[in-house]
Amino acid sequence: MKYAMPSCVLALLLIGCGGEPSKPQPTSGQAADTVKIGILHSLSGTMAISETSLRDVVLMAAEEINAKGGVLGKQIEPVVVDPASNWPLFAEKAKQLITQDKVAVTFGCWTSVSRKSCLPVFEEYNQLLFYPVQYEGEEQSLNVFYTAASPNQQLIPAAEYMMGELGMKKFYLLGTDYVFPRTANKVLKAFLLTKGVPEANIMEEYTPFHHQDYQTIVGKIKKFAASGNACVLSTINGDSNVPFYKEFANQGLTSDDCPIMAFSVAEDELRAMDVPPLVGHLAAWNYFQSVKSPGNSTFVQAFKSYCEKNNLPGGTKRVTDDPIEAAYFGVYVWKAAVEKAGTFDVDKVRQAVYGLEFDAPGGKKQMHASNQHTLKPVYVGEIRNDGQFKIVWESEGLVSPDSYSRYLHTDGNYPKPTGGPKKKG
Amino acid sequence: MRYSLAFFMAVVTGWTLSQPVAAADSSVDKPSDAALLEQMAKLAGDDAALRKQALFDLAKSGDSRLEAFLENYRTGSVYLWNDQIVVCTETEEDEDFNELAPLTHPLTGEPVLGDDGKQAKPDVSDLGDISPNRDERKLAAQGKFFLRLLSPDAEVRLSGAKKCGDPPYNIDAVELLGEIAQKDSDNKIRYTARESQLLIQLSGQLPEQNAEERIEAVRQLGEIKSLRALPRLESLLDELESADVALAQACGQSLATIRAHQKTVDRFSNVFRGLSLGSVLILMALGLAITFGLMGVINMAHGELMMIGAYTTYEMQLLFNHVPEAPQNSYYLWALPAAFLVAAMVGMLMEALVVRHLYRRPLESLLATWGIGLVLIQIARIRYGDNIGVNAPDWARGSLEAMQDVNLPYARIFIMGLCLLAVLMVWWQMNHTRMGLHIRATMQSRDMARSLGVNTRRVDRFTFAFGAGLAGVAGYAWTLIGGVTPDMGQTNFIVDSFLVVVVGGVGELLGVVFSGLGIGVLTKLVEAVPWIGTIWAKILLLIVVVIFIQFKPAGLFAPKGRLADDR
Amino acid sequence: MALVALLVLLFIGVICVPGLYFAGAISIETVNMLGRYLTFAIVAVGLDLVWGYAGILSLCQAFFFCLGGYAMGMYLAHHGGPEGIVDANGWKMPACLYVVYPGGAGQTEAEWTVPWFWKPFWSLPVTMLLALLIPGLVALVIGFFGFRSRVRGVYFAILTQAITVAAFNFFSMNNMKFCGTNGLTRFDRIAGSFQLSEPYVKLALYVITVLALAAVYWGCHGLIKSRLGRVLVAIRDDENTLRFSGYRPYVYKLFAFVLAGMIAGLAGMLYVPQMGIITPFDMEAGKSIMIVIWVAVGGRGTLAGAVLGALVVNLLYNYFTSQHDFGIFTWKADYWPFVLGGLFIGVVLWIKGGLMGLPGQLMRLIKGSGTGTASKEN
Repeated sequence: MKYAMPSCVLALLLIGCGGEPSKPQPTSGQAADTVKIGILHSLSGTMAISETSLRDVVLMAAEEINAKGGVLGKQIEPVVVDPASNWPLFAEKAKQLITQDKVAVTFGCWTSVSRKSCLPVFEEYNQLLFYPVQYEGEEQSLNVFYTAASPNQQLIPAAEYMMGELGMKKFYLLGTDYVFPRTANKVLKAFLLTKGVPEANIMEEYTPFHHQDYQTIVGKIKKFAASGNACVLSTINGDSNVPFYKEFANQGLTSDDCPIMAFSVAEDELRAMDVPPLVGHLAAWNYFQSVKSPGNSTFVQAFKSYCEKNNLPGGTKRVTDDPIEAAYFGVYVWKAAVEKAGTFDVDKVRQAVYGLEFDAPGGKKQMHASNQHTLKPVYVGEIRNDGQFKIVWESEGLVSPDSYSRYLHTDGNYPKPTGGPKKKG
Repeated sequence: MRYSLAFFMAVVTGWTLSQPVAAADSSVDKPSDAALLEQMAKLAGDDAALRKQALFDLAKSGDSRLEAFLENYRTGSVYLWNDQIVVCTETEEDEDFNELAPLTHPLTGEPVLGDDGKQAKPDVSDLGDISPNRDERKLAAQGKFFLRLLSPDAEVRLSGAKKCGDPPYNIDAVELLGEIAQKDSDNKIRYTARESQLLIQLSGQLPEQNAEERIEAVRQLGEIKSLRALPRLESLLDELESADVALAQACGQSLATIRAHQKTVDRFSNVFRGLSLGSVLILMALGLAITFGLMGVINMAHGELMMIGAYTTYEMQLLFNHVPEAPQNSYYLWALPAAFLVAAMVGMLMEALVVRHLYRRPLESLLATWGIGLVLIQIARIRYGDNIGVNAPDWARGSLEAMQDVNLPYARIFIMGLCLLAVLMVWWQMNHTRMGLHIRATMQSRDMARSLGVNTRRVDRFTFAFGAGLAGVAGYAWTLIGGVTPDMGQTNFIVDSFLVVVVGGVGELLGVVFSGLGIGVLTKLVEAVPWIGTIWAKILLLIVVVIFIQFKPAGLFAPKGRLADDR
Repeated sequence: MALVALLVLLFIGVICVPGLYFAGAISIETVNMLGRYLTFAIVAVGLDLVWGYAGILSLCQAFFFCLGGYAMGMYLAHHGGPEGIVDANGWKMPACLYVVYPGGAGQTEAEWTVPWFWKPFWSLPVTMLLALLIPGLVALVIGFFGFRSRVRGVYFAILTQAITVAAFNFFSMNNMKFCGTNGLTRFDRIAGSFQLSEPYVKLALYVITVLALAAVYWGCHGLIKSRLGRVLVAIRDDENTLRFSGYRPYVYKLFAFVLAGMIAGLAGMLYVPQMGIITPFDMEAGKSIMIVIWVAVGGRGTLAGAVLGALVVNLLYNYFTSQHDFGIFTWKADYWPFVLGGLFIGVVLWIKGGLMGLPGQLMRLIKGSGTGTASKEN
């Protein structure tokens, strides 16, 4: 105990200094012939399952851009951090990226809560975040560009498909209990009710995070689907999907008995599943690996060889999917905007993004003229035996995004966007 | 929606149920390939009525190869090329980014050869589009189900029998269903066909059907306790006009029978689900009951040992090259000892390097094993990535229909058996072997055991490895019903495992069995109550556990005597 | 000795760090970060009191922390949020609640109301009082039933863990109107007009945290040195003997447990304005275990060790979850578990009594006399 305290002090000082990255040159990120971008995706913890692929694809995009001469003549220098699926750490890392690494832009986040966690940071410092995952909407920050679907670009077309094409009359809304499924189901329910589906034909059910035992719920679905015209609209998240689909198949239910339309299962998740019993179930996204477009096969090949070259787990067995595409073209949207604006200045880049048209792997897309989201096509796909999707329906042209759902704000009274340039005074 | 009856009858007569395989292929009246292709060609025509008729005729031809064709037609993969009907499911790109369509034959699925003798790959723009409208897509789907009725494969036939009786009802199939209901060799198919036939009659869509026939259908559906009839009878009863007393009465009676049956089904299923969850919990906790319960090591890496078992199963799948297309089911049996041994070896290493220093300060084992867990998770993540899938062996797919509407998945039955086996093995190991005797002696008093000549080092190492191996087995079993991720231990298992062990009473193996089953059955019974739901069930169960500990502050089987105060 | 520790803490905390900040050597975000980690240190001191001295392994400190945090979060949410709406009764609807509000389909905003349990947290004094009282009360209930029926050791740990997991599930539910898994966010002002994003407000909150930690530390130290503290240690070492000597251990345990709960509530209350968000994930089962780990790393049964452990573990965690270029090799962000895992194993294997035991052990090693002395390890 005698020497405890001095050592305590010593350690504190040492660590305190260690916590401070030795970056004496404050503006080096901008001044040199490189420009830094931040990558804020969980590489450990529960979300690593989805987010590591996004880090990989953003790094790949940066490498591609660098090979072609960089942005405004500057080479991109990616700064990778690991927020470890820990929501406060997202805010912490966002601060570090902005204040210490001085990144020009950040690509990151997956869950809504992680975005909510670091949103105040991006707004406080008026920096840009490109967010590549479909989410519940009801948000519009001038400091975020949402490159994935808002609810009306995924949920509504999917529900329409189930009603129109498959003639479904009963809907089992099943989700993990957090904000995306809750809001999604609220939107879906409002939509179904306006389409004349009686309330009794809609069931809503939620499970806790990481729920693993779906026996009872599948039993309920089996009864619900006995009428022969019922389907499941699933917003189950992450690792709960595997036990759910396994139980569904094991209890003898097939896509003929009761098709599952999933909003959170893409090709990358299917890699973790036992696919044969799932053939025929559906998913709705804005991109599938099987999309036919001029750039897509090149993109898919490039991603596979990138993973193999860098010895990433999975190698050439890796697949692309909607969030991966959205993360990838986000980098290019930013590049195009920077080049259009001729500067890295956030406010000018933001203006340049509005209305920007660009070629994504999945085809031509466009940024919305004002609401921060992206105009995208919508596809419905059926799971094939090889873990890919067969596209069975696609929207005509691009669907314009709603940041706030018209089914929730029936009076058309939408809140104003948040964030943006600091007001003086 | 009329069809040519003569043609239909011809198919049915030609279809002898004693040899369904032969029937489908060698029926005298089976249309030739040329005739089928001719019907297909009509689909490209402009006359909507003719297209519809062609679809009907195709459906009734009974040629099982047509199912693939109809599916391709439905999804818009059928094209017209040089006045020939062709199929193209995937396009390719050449060096100049032209989109090429490799063609296949609509019936045989073989490549269509071009002039050069290779597969024809015309440019997509040269193909004539045959895209069905919404009604035609639905008809194609219906036709698909009708075709299935005539399939030689029992599973396909079953699905056809079912789907024909689902809305929109396939009224054309009603007689064929009646036929199947009488003659098919498979019990389940006979039942389903009859059910579907009755459901079609119930739907009221059949032309020239009188009221008595409908009432009779209602009555019979009640008789066979049809689950599928339940929602339909309910909605029928809602819509009925008050004048239709006889039908309403029949509905009421049938509903009562079906509901009574469903109650039995629920009771039975819930208990099974509870036992199944219970066995999963026991398997999870059994290893911990040894490392923590007996040895007193707060083993936070227990979940990671399970993860290792699961990944070993995955490695075995790779080793045996088990893929869904070419199953190597034996891999799963070999994976059992492999999972046990690999996890046991990791356990042994853990014991030798870290845990053996901590027997006298168990609280610090929490810290060290948590650290080990972190390292193991990240090693697995770097080695495998997150998304890997274990494909179940074929025999673990599907379920056993123990009684009408009670499906017991084979995977869960297997896990229950495995759990029983594991418990018996542990019991025998602890109580009927010399090693077991040494283990119990060492755990009760390490010093005394050593002074009596027991090699406690060896005993410790063996015990810890044994517990770790059991964790590996739990991870192995888990792959049948759950996902495999590097942090599966931390997110799914560690809290539940400790809960089960502690509720059972630390140091008591029997306690684990009882608390695992108790928690499992209770969870499932509570969850099944409609107004509680999954989340509240979980919260309520935890509250029950808290209250339970109030009354049994040392678990179900409290250790007695000197041991009681040690922990 | 403890006084030295206190003075060192105050010296570094109140003089050095702000000094460095004003000198421009560290940014305000670093000060802010230290402030957050010091709130963790406060919880750790509370846990050390019950676990290190009274021998009660509690796995619900993160729950108490969150109770304090949620109270403060509700206050801040009331007064924050740019896109707030006014409900039917004229209450300002907090932005974070508005986003996840489980109004029925087709219900308009006009029909939504701020739930009753949000209303007391409009005022700061009430909030501060409740942020201490609620965790204290919950601890009282848990402790009253737990200690009275003599639930001990791992049984008590699992009991508290079960409560924490249940609470986590409860707070995660969207329709409980605690903002579900998104948690409370969109904060703006504190105590009237102080903008949370202003550097001086961040600095002030940091200094308050240091002072709170100092007060908690000194208070706990005084408690331990008192007669009551010796009873607590006696409980840890042999509860039965103490009972036979006529004491009622459960009263003392209850007191310590409630006190630790309130300390955790205080920490949570200080944490939220510095963090900007509080979510149910802050009370996951793993988080409580982490608190135990901080104490164990620093050295159980030494209050300074709890502080040290919390700071060391979190700073290392923070440092190694970023990419670093060390010249010879590049540190990859996702390798952090190897450092922390290694630290946990290393501390247990080679340093008796946590980091606080390190200097003593080094001294013994240098003097070469350490081999013979038996440590007072349990």
